[in-house]
Amino acid sequence: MTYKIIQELVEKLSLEFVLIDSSEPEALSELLPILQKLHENSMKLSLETLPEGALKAEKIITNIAQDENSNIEEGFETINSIISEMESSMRELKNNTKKESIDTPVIDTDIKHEDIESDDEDSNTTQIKKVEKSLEKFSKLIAGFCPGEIPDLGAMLNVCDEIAADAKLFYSDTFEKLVLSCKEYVGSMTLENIENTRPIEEGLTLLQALLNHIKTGKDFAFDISDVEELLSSGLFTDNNEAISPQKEIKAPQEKQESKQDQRNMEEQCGPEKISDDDLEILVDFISEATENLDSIEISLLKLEHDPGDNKIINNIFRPFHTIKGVSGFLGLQKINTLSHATENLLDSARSGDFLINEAATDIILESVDTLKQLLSRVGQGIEKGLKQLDNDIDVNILINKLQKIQIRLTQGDKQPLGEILVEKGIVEDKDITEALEFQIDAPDKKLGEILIDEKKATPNEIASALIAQSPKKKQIATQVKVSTEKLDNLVDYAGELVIAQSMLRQQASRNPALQQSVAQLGQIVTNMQNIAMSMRMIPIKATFMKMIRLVRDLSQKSGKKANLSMAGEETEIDRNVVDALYEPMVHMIRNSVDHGIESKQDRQKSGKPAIGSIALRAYHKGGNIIIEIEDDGKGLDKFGILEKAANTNLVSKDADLTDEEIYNLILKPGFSTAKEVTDISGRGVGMDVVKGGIEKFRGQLNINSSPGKGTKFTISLPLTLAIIDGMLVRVGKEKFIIPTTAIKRSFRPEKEDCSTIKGKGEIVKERGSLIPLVRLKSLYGFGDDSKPPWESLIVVVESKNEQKGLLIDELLGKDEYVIKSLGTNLENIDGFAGGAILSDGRVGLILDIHGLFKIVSQ
Amino acid sequence: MAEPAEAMDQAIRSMTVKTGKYLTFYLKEEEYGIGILKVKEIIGMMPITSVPRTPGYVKGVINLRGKVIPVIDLRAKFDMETIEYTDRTCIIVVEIDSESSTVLIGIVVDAVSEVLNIKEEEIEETPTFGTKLNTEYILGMAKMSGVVKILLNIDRVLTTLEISTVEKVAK
Repeated sequence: MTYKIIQELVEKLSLEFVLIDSSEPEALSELLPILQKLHENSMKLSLETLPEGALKAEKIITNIAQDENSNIEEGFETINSIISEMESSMRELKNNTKKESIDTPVIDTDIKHEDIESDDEDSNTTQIKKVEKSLEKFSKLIAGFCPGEIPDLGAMLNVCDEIAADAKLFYSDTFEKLVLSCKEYVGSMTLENIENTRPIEEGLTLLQALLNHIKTGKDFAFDISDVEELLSSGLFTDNNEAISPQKEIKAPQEKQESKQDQRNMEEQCGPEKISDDDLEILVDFISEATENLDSIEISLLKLEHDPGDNKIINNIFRPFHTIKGVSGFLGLQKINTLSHATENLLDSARSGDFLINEAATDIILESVDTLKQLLSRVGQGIEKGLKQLDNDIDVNILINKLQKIQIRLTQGDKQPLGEILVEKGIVEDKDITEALEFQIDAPDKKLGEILIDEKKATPNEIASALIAQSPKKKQIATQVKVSTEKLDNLVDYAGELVIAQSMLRQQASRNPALQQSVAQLGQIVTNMQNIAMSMRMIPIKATFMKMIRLVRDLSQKSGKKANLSMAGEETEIDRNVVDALYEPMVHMIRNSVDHGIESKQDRQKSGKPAIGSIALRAYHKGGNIIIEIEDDGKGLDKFGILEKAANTNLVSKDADLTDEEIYNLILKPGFSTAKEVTDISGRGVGMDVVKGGIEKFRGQLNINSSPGKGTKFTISLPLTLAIIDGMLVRVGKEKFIIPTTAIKRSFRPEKEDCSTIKGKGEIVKERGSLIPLVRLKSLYGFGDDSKPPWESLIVVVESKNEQKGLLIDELLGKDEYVIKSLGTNLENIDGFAGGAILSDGRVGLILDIHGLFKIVSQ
Repeated sequence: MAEPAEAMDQAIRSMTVKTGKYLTFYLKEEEYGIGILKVKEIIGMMPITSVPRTPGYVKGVINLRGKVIPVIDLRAKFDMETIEYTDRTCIIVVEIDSESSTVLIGIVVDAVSEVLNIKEEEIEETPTFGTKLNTEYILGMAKMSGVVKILLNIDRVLTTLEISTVEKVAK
């Protein structure tokens, strides 16, 4: 039809023009009839540029023909450019129609957009019918519109888009324009909260009238300027007062109806195609929303531990809010309604109506999962050029759940017993209904009793349901802030009580009755001491939680994905130790992600899951807290470390080291300060700092690694800094406590192993190594000390990888000691870590091995 | 609430006005006095754990109901000859204002005498023995029934200057 004719005309025009020589301008007149035809035909199709160009060319040609003085060359050039413009616009037109035909999904196979060429009347009517349907839908939406209902507006926008897309095929300028104005208006309703729907109603009536005319094929001479004005003016003057009152009365019933309609229609319409503009926004939206949802998950886990924290709730609320807003605008209805419902729940929690409990967290997480699913569907849709393919995902059940839990939480109401029983699968719905009917006749009887009488449930089942029914409000124990000084005093007195009690027990040994009372007292005292000690303890959870974020950030930065799993977060530990732990843990986790976990490709090659995992574990073991950081990465490279150590002269090249000794090399200061440890093992950077930090608190660090499987760091720290595990030794008349962590071994040397080196003092040979001896008596200046080493015991102690043997007279036993300061004046004495009350009530001094070595070396 | 307020008053007075109650004790043949508000308690001799590498006058540390406190021999501190402890030997636990907080320190004395009410007019300024002598730790001299008692400013006796020596020796 016309389109084809125009194309032919343009082609003819350009051909003729090329043939004409600029020396004979008269020939130009031959172009005139073609131009006229072109003008006529292109007007029919309401193409903008073609008629204008044709007219202009006509004018120039007539000018040239009439006036010989006019600049012929310029005229030629202008005509040339006009023709090339025409050609390009024709090409564009062709492309557009082709593209549309591709965009149209398979479902619409019967509607061929090439109908312009084929001039198929039937398909045109189908098209009109489709637009008619859309208009109907639109009018229903408008009628049922309730101010502030973003989803409805989103639906309206969708319909407008649909109509606009279909209407293009009518080549009706007016119609298209009007649809666009309507869409614009709906858009601004969404953005600016305009509630007046009258302009859009007018627009709709006009659209329907236009469509009727298109259907009958009549020419139409509508003046749409009135309505257009109304639509655009409506954006600025919000005269809703006149209309909204009656609207509001209608709204409630209609809203529900229209929602119902909407849903039905959604199913009928099937997948919609996506316009080019939307595509870009959608892609952005998906990536943004997915990121948002990830952040929600983390925050939710945090919220579980601290349900009252509004900051966390806000962090969760915001992403939902964003998702809701954007999805509404994009017309992603399911995502919109679901995020809206979740947002509502969170909003109430935010305003302090209730605390998010475990059940609520579960449902929110479920909604996060469903949203993710929906988003991935949208993503799949984009690939195929279609909108949502989510008919199989039902969000209504979830929305229902969200609303239910919100009501339950708000009212603090219990879940009905019947519901619990049904949920647990003990009874069926109809049993409950029957029982409830029965209850009407016998109001005294409780539901549970009726069910038991009817043998529908056992008393045990009812009891467990009743327990489940009672509100599971998280017990937040009231807390009191107490100064540490008072706590310390309490610990002191509790310790004294233990001593006093043991003295009493000795005296009571001859009186059985008294002995019994003392034993009872002993039990109470022990309990009291334990409680006093535990008061300084806090769970390690807080430190662990910080690591979640760290791992997330690190894995994002390094591009290697890693999951952090935790166990034993509730393990309690001294407050000071917690602070001490933080930095070493950060260091080690950073190492694990940076150097331990391999890249995704490498992991897949070696048959591991693509996402690396890091496990954090905490538990008590023999008065120590053990913290394990384990990754499933590539493990430490033994030979690489050994080579590196040999190169930096840390070990001799032919040294025979055990695995453990090799791993410990990475803790050496010399090892880690070396820059760029190549890819063999970047680990060790700062590991000496980690070790130092842990040792400062009398802890130990162990490394386990198996190549290709991962590395495990084990930190062992005393439960509290106030208690030390010590060995009581006697030197002459004095008693000292040596921290057990420093003690390597003790032995009585053979006479032939002892020797004196001039200027270096005594040394003893033990297991092939030479150990310098320290005489505590002469060092501390109490009494003459000339006893030969082979007549006394040697305790080998270690500090900072240095070993020395202390000469002692007797090992008195191992015990736990509460460390006490020697008082401000004596605090800074080298060689002593403090004092401790011994079981006889006297003060024993605790040796500080590091300080002791310092004195010796002076 | 009256009690602490009263105590405060007295404390302030003791700083500015010398009138007040004093605990007197013997060291050699002389009688000394310490402001009663400084005294926490008086305990009999108990096992002292000596701490090596401290100045001679630091006898060591004791366990005072679960707290470890240092003990100073006042004889040694005042450069008198030390004697064997007898059953009259006592440890007076005093509270000392150090720079940051108050600390407890035990001082070993030959024997505790009595608690005296000493009026301002009975106290004479410390005589100047000559410019070179530091008499800062002496609060004054109380003349009572012909006997002169030396009132000590115990904070001065045991604070900063001495502590820094302790630390110096320790290092």
